[in-house]
Amino acid sequence: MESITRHYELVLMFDINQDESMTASTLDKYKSVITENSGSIHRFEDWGIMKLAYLINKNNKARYYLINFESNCKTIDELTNLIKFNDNIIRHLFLIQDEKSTEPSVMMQSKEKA
Amino acid sequence: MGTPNSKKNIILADIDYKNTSLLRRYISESGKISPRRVTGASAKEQRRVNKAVKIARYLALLPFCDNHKNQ
Repeated sequence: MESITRHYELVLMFDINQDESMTASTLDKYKSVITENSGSIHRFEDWGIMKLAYLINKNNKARYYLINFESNCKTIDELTNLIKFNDNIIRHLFLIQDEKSTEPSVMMQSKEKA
Repeated sequence: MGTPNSKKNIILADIDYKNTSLLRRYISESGKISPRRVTGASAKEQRRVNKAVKIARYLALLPFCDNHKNQ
C-alpha cells in the first residue's frame, strides 16, 4: 500500500555560535532524508541571522531556515528524531500545509526589498 | 500598533506567522493580541491572527510580553 504524502513546512533555528559547515552538512542530511524516502522539496529558504524576540537558552540571535516539502509521516518521525538529538538546533517547528508552496515567502520578499 | 490602516487592504491569505509586520498591527505595545473591537478585524481574520501570532511567538519572531530580560 502506498503511504499518504502531505505537504509540510519546517522551520529550523540554528545556534549561531556553532560551526557554519556543520549547519550546511546537517541541512544536506535532512534534505537527503526527505528525498530518499520518496519525498520532494518544493522550497528552501535561508532567512539568515535574526534577532530573537526573547532569549532562548541564553541566545539572542539565531539562524533561520525554512523548508517546504512533501513526504509521508515516517519521514517526519525520522526527521524529528534527528533534530531532537542535534544540539545545534535551538528550536524547530513542523506545520502541515494544504497545498505546496514554491513562491518566495513574505520573509524573503521583505528581505529583497530591503 | 493601533488599528490597521484600512480594513479592506487586508487579504486573509496574507495572515501568516512569517508576515510579522502585518501581525504587529494586531498586537499591543506589550505584545498582547488586541481584541477585535480595537483592531476592527473580522471574526475569521481574528481567528487566523490568533493562531499566527502564537506560532510567531514560539519561533521568537514576536515577543510574548514586554518584560523579556534581554542580556
